[in-house]
Amino acid sequence: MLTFIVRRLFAVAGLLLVVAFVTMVIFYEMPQWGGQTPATMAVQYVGKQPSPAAIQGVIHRFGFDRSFLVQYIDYIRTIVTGTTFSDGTQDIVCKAPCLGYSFRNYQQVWPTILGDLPVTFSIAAGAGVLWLFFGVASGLASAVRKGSLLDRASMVTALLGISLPVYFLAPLLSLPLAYRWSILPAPGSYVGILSDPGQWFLDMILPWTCLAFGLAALYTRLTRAGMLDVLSEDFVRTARAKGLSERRVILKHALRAAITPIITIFGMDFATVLGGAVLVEITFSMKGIGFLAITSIQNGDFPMMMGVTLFAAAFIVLANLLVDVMYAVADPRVRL
Amino acid sequence: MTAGGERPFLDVRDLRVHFPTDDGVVKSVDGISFALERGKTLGIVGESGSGKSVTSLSLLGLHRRADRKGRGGARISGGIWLDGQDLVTASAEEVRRLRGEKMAMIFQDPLSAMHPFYTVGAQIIEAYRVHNKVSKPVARKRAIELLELVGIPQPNTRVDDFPHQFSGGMRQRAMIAMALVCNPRLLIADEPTTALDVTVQAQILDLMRDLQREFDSALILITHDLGVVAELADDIMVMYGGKAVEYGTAETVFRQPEHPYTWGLLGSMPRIDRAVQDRLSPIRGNPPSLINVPAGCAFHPRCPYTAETGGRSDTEIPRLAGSDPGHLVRCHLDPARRQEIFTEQIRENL
Amino acid sequence: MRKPRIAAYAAAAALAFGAAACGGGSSGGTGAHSSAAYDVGLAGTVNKSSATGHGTLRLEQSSDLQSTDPGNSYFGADWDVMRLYTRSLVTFAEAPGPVKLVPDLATDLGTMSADGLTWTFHLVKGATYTDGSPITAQDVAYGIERSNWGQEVLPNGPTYFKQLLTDTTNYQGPYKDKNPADHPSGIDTPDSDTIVFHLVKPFADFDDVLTLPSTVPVPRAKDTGATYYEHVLSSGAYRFDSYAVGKELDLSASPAFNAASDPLHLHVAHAARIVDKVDVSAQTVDQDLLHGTTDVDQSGAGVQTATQSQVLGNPRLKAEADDPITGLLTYLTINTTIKPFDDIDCRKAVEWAIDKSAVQTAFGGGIGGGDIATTVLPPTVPGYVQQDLYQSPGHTGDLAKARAEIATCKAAEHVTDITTQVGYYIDQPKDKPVADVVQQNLAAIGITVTEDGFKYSQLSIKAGSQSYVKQNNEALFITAWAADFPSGYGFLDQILTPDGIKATGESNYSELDDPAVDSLMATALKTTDPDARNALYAQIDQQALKDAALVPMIDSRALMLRPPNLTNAYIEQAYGMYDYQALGVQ
Repeated sequence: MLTFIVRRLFAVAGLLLVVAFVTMVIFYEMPQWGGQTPATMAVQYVGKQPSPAAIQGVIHRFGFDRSFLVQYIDYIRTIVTGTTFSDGTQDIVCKAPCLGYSFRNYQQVWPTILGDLPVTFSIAAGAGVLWLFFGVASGLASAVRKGSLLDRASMVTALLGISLPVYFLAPLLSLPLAYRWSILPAPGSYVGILSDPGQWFLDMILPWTCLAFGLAALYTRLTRAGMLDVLSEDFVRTARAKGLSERRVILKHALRAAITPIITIFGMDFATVLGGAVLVEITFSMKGIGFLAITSIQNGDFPMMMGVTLFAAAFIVLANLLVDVMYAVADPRVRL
Repeated sequence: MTAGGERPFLDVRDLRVHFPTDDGVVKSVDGISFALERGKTLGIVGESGSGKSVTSLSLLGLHRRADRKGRGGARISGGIWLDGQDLVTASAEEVRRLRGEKMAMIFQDPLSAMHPFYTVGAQIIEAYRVHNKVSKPVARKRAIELLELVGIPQPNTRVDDFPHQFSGGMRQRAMIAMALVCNPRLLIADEPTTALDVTVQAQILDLMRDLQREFDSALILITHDLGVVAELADDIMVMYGGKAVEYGTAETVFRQPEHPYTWGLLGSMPRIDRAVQDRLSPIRGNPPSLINVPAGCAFHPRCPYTAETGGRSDTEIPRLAGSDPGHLVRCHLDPARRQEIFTEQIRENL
Repeated sequence: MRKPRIAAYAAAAALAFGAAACGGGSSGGTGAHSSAAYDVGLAGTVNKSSATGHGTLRLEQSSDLQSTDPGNSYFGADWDVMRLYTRSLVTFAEAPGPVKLVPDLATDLGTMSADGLTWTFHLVKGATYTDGSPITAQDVAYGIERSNWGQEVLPNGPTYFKQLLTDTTNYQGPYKDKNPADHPSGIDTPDSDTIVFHLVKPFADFDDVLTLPSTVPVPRAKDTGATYYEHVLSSGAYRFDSYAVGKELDLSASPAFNAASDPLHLHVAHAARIVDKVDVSAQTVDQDLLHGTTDVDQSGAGVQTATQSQVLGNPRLKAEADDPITGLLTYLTINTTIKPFDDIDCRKAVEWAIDKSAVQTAFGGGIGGGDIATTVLPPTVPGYVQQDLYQSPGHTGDLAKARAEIATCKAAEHVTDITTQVGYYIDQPKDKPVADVVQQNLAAIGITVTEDGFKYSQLSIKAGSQSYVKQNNEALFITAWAADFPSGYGFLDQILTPDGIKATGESNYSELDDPAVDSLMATALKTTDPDARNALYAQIDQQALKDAALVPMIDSRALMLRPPNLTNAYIEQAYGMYDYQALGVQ
């Protein structure tokens, strides 16, 4: 297991190097294939009356004046060793892991991402609990009562959940609940869990629901299909033959086998959400990683774009690794 | 409610298990009756789809019962009395409590029949504790005992292994241990050796015979392999198309089989002393569809002797009958003629 | 001297920065208490209240501030907000109606010296920062120096002072030249109450320039350069508590504010707290306004189209809405150097051919879209005079006259077929339909037009590049313009004179170089009498249209909501949005 993890960690690092390379090509090189020049890319940083010297300064600051490979190697080296930036008035020490410095807002990329992580984590954690619980519960009920009214109702709901996008569901829920009856806070409010847990919970209910609904629908279908498969397995028959109660057969034997693949999918989905629940964050104006990604792209904030992309990618590949390890723990037949 | 010794230990009367489907009713088991005493072994033999496995599952009450409209599960009628208790009319909960306790089952493929995520020990312990209010350590001791009993070396450590860490034969031994853990009086083994190597098969059969003696349980052995039955069975029931076609003591059925289907089964048994080309004489044709069972004798499309029935075999279902109450046969042919055919044409080829 | 670039098109989150109104006109509709009704916020104050330090005023906007640093933003909405926590030398009178300049940190508006080159100002007595320290003329000078000469650190703000003031020593700015004794020669601070500006040329609109946040005082010792935006030292009625990029700006009534230093009562903290949430989705902003969970859309961009019909269809909501002119002009430029449009008759043909009524429909109609424009100057900018050189019934164009002009042009230029391109921004959803109208109108007089849509970020390599438009024969461009400060010069200079002609990044897309226009502009800048000066601006406006250098099309309007909770609500024409400094809540 340990050698597996170590070997995989090397693979993760390699993969991230590739991701960084591709991201850099997309953000730094591709605009230039589309007719942009370093000067036109830099011009948005120099105000309305740019002097050629100012443009040159920005070009140099971003490294557009060096070959792509040198920029790339510098970027990677900076992550490991850290570096020092100048914002024009003072030097800013960027410690490893140094993902760069945003000259748009004069903020370091890594602390900015960490600062926005609690928001995304709040969304992901609560929604994750909701969609896993409701998805698995309704999928389970559907599978056990296959063909029943409950099954059909839950399948229709699931179809609805999969087809309803967040930005449609959000007003659908927030108009009555937040605006008309004022039961819940209006979209856009967020307080940290530490400063006011109760308010935090209320603020999060709508985002959680909107994010969890579609995913719960997906998990309902996954669980139902998985349970139907497992329920026809021999070991379920064995469990019944042992005289176990139906409840125990379903929960301890069938669900235990059906849930393993679901948990691994959950790991990936959760990591994806942690890398930025873009739609929910935009719709509810919650300033998490996804929001950061969108605003940095809108602002042409190259270091921030790179940082967020790498961060999200890291989350996903690490989750992949974690999922593999979890799978090995969950399924004794798998040996790493 | 033991019926004063009048009833056999296991008494099955006119058992029918029908499954309504969109295409029609599947009559998997269509009126079978047999009796079995403790310490005795019944072999149920037949091709796949003959209804033998359905029979065993219905004994344990493992079919989902149809609702009142007769949809969504099995329609079961007839009678199953185990130690005097009627299992057909008993509630699902009552039957559940008997499962594992009074009657237990050994399945065909122990790898798929055991839960891959739990240790062998945990699964045996669970089976024990469902019916016995004991602590986990006590149950664990019992599990180790049983593993030892079924001949698993180092049961103390193997108890914590997962099924996939066992060899096929060991796994089937563990499966048997799990079935025996509550000391059941009825043991049903559904193709217990089919998935195993030939050498292991014999060991498992020996083990089952020994254990049956030790536990004094009734054993139903379900198989398509007459060789297995020959080793263990006291009685034999041959099933075809959901019905019993021949039922008698093992000795009679082997020595004087009267049903053409049984002859076919016997003829298809491999024997070491025959040349390869002669060895297997499979029965021509395919087993019948259980939805559209052929009219008349279900076996008639495959039977070489239909001409001798004067057309009755196409229209009339033969009764299960015989001059000797210990040997029942479902065939239109005259008993004397059947014996004649067997003696003159069949026996020499077996 | 150079100045505003394209205004409202600042990237996807476009914000119009305002411009408008007469430097010296009468202040109309002042003070009258108005009950809530549609458009009353244009000329009167809704829910007048003199309460101070009451409640929390909630602002929201769908984008972020460009910066909270008074020296580093070019957004009009930011400037409107900055007045809450900063004071500039000159500002706008706190009253509805046409814009009126009033002194803020200065004791009086400036007077131009006889040669037009020197302007002297004195600071009001007793003005302090929120930490209690006194505001000095040196701080005002430093604010100007850092914002205009420190562009490598603060790139975003306007740099009029760098263009207007003398600088004999080629001052490098406070971040490169750390010697506090060094200054540009154009700024003198003989004592802590006096600041003297030396101009490179006469500039009669100088008071307007002083309204820019460039003149907000910043103590040198407190300046942290690029990160000063995080903790601006407040000189206004509200204290700058905190600002988190992309999240919110928090202000609270400043206990240290010395009301005696503010004789015109320009800085009264009506609210106890102000919370400005940024980067809230546009739909949410609208919903919050409709349901009273926020008080003002800080961007001043108006509600979304869907919300607009909801508001206009509901009498109660409509009574809580204003539809002001934003000061943004959408117009079609005709490049005077690209054949055959270097021939004035060909350009006049375009002037006559455009169906402005159809353009208005394409632009979203009268409410929320805008009015048909017949002049370069919007009605809210000084110098505006109602005129229409190319009059047609219902503004639908005059095909007969257009065909006559194009025939003359073709004969003179010896051409039979005329083809050209029209540039427009694809990230401005209203511009593509306008381009379609232009294409159809010109097809009717035999000019074949191909559309060339591009993103605002590509401007400098597309329509903003002289070589690009010449190589691609792109004589037409649909764009928009708003002034940085409310004067005719502020609106007209960059789009009509050689000041705006550059190889790349130009703003005079017509490349109009008319000596008549240039001399009128030079005269205006020497004219101290505001009325005479504004009359000259009107003449420039008319001259440009005689030259047929551009086709004014739409003066934008934006439908804005003022929830009933809001007090002292009126449109500040200088910004084309509510005057945030005056607002309070009930």
